[in-house]
Amino acid sequence: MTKLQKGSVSISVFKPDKIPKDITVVREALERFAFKKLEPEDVRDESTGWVDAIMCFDNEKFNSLMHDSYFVFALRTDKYSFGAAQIRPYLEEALYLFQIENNLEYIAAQQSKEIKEQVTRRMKMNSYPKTTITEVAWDMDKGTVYLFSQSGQVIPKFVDIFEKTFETNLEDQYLFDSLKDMGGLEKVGSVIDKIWSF
Amino acid sequence: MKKINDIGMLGQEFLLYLYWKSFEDGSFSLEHLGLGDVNISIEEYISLVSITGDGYSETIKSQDLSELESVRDSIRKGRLPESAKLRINSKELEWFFQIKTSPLKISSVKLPITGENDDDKMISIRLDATARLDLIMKGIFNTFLMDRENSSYVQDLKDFLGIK
Repeated sequence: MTKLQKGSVSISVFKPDKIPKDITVVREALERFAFKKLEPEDVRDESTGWVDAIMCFDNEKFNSLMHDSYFVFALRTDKYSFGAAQIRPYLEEALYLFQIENNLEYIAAQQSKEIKEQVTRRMKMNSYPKTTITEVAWDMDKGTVYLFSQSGQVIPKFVDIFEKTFETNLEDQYLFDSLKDMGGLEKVGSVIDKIWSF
Repeated sequence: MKKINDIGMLGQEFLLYLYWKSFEDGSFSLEHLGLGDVNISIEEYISLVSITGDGYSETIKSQDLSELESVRDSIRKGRLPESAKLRINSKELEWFFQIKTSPLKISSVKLPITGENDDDKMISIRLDATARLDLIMKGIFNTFLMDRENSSYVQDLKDFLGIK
């Protein structure tokens, strides 16, 4: 279930320096940077790209793109990640069997590396990548972009791919942005110092 | 130009202001932004952190925090709000979320429940509610900045806290 439909949300707000002229431009841009499925035999361990916000397997049609004045889509990241403790028993077993089968006293570093790669590939074949889906809503009236996440891992990925996709620069928006109209933090001073003095 | 992403103790002062206003009637007029009257209340919990350097911090939990004298007692001793849960009502819509001061941001927002069954309508309503909350919070922060320009602001806050 998408965050657009249900549940609590945490939001980061951005302002791009330009907006696309119509839905065709948006659709084409999303298609260029669409999510590409990660296969176990891929050299890559991670894939990031755009998908439909409602049907997160759809990386072609983006059927749910238009909602009133908003364009909605989602950032999908699939990542294979195995911790050292998770790999260890399979790697130790593979190394042991290789040693026995080849009657070796020790295994060369390069050979060990190749065995580790085989083990990792086998583990990939037997598992699914970890998937993260983060919804995005772009208000075409105000130009504001809402990212439904405040994750320190998601935001940099989002900013990077969004700027590449739409050839724009994103600026963070904060609820205290009006502070600069008052002359900034230095100008407004501190009230706390006038009440408490320690 | 790199934007500032943290406003230091002004965030704590803002949450203190929200607590103060929540204690009074909690209402803000944001008519100039087309948002009408907005009502706020701090509920469930408030975390206070000492600014005296003694490392003291506490979290006070209650459904009726505005009425708890112990919160004001603690603030009087120099323990400023660091995070809290805030409820906002505006035009029959209600948001409930966490606000943190360092850096100042809101999270875990429960958007208004409308009872809408149609998915498309639900998305539209939630998107509007998201944008509206963003506007409301910016409007309240602006009101805070304007209020603190008032010459009686410091004395009024002191009077509220019971500081001589």
